[in-house]
Amino acid sequence: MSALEIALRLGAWLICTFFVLALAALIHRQLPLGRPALSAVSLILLVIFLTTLFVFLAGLLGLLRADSLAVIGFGGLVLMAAIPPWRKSLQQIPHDLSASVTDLRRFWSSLPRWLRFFSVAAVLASLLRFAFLIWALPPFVWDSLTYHLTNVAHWTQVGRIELFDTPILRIYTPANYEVLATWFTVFLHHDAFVETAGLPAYLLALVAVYACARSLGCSRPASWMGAMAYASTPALLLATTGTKNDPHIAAYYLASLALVLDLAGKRPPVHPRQSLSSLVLLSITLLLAAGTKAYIAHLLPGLALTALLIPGMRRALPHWRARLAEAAQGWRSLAASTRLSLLLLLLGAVLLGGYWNVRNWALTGNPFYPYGVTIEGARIFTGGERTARLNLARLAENLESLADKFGDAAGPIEPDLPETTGWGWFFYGLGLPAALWVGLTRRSFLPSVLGFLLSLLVLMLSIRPSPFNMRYLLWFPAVASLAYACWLDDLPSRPRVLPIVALVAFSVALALNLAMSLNYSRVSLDRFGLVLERPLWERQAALLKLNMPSEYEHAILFAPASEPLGYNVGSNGFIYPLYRADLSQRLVYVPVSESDDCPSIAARMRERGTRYLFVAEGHTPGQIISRVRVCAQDGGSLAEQSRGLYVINAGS
Amino acid sequence: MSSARKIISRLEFWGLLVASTLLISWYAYPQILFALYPPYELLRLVLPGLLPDLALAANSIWSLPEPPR
Repeated sequence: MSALEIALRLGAWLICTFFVLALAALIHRQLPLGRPALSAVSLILLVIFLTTLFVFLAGLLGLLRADSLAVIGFGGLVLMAAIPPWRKSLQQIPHDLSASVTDLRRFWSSLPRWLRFFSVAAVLASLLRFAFLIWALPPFVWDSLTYHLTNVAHWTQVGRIELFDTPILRIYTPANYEVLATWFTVFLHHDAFVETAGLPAYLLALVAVYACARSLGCSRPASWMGAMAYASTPALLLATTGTKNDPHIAAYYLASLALVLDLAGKRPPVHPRQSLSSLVLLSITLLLAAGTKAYIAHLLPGLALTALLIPGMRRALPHWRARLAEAAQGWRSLAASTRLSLLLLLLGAVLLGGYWNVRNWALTGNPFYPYGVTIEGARIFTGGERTARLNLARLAENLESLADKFGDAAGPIEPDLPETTGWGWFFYGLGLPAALWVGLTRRSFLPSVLGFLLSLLVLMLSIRPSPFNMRYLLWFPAVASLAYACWLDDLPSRPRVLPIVALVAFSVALALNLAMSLNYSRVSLDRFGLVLERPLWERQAALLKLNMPSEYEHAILFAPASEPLGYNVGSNGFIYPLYRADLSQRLVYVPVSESDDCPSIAARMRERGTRYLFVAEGHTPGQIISRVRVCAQDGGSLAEQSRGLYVINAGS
Repeated sequence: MSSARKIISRLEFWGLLVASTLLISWYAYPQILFALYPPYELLRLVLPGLLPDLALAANSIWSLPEPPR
């Protein structure tokens, strides 16, 4: 890529970023929440939502190209500037920014001096860590290389969101995260910054925990310490740049909790617009989450329990009826144009929340394809290669597995969380005792604890028992961080040793959390050295030999990028590395069975428009590798060009 | 704050401190090794040749399952 091309592509990215930010600022002004922390949650959420919606609509229309997106973004900016009420609203952005700066100053001056120093150091260290890992390493986490980034690569390559022929049926699952990740690949047509796609969710989760703590009555410093503690959770840190969708679900859950805590704790008189805004944002958050990963549905009972318990079970119904009545009143008070824009916003959320399941239903008869659904033995949806089960036996099995993982004694905390919870030093050392104590002694905190526990139990009714399933629980350590924030405010200031001991323990726990996640607990210095020898644009996922068989490296080195590459992997094999870092390699799936004879394998390759066939140990079924090897022996239909890479024999 | 509440909150603090200490001690092995190993590697990078390579020893204390799932 020439410097001019890079500059033009970055320019297109910048225009589209301005467009999304301006749109988010316009809508943000229409959804007042009355509290700075919630307002920050709302702004980050709107930016994530609008970016996802923008890429999604462009993808459905086949316009996922840097130039097309830049034209849409520029047109959108011109349109906003041309319509008088929108222009007027845009002109208010400097005023809004100045109000935000005032809020930030108030927040900053409320922190004690040591916490300011600590915060600056923690934020700088986190930024450096994130920036280095994003810059240095290509994607390497298992599920990303099988289906998350395979979707991203295919959509970026063809410029359209569509299904494609592949043995990995999980490309059918709800894919709002993948849509957002496409924003980070489509402009440069490269995966150099795709790991950045988790950062908006990380930021949202951090601010949401702060907002939750404020709603629970914690002071600003204590709430900030709780938020920083959650942000240091190793499992969250590793997943954020691990190109997976679980940090997004954690962020949406916590953002929903922040909105629920605010609504549930409100006492009259409440401004009708604030109730309306909270309910609109809650709907958007949950719909966005529904289109990201289905297990958000399993977390909802916990949220609902918190919503009912905070006003008190007896008062819950009138309380929520009052909030709905205020929201209706707020809706009636809006101008027709504002109502229309909010309706369009909700329509976009419904689209992002429902598209994937409705599409799957229409195509396969099962909205949850490729997962069949069974509840206590009764088959609800059939079809697909896997089964999502909801039953008590699974709950027992998962709780037993959680007990085994509790304490992270099995090994280092890696991105896939093998046999570990990934909750880290703060959770086990400080958060857990604080959660137990605060949960038992402070009635105002009990609804949140019970809500978190119910979400955990319902989730454990259904998730597949596996050494790697703790990634679904990234949101859970937030309960300990919130408890710690509540407990901190009651800490006596005399004798001086008390707060000093507490704060030293806090700082050490966070430092240890950060230290253990510096290299994903997986990447050695030598490996970093090998990757960094290559320029940024040539850091291929296929060349990072952490979990990558050498066949992938051979495919990158010996298969011509100008020709389609045929591949055959099983239902959990890596596809993404074959696309190359610049997403230039066209791929076609070549189905092969062990009963196929050699000429029919070659014929199928020709049918699919390729001369090459890629297979890899551990990713392609063994019998298929044997079959292909036989075809390459003794001058058969295929010839082995390099390890795992076969080409149709010129003479066959 | 009344003196009774002050005493209770101090007891609460020391109780939590004891609980924290016990939990951290329980959590510390083997996680302390995994927490200190990456900064140690960084230090080796900054001071080349001065510190021994502990990669083999580090790898020998755990054996975790590998995907696929």
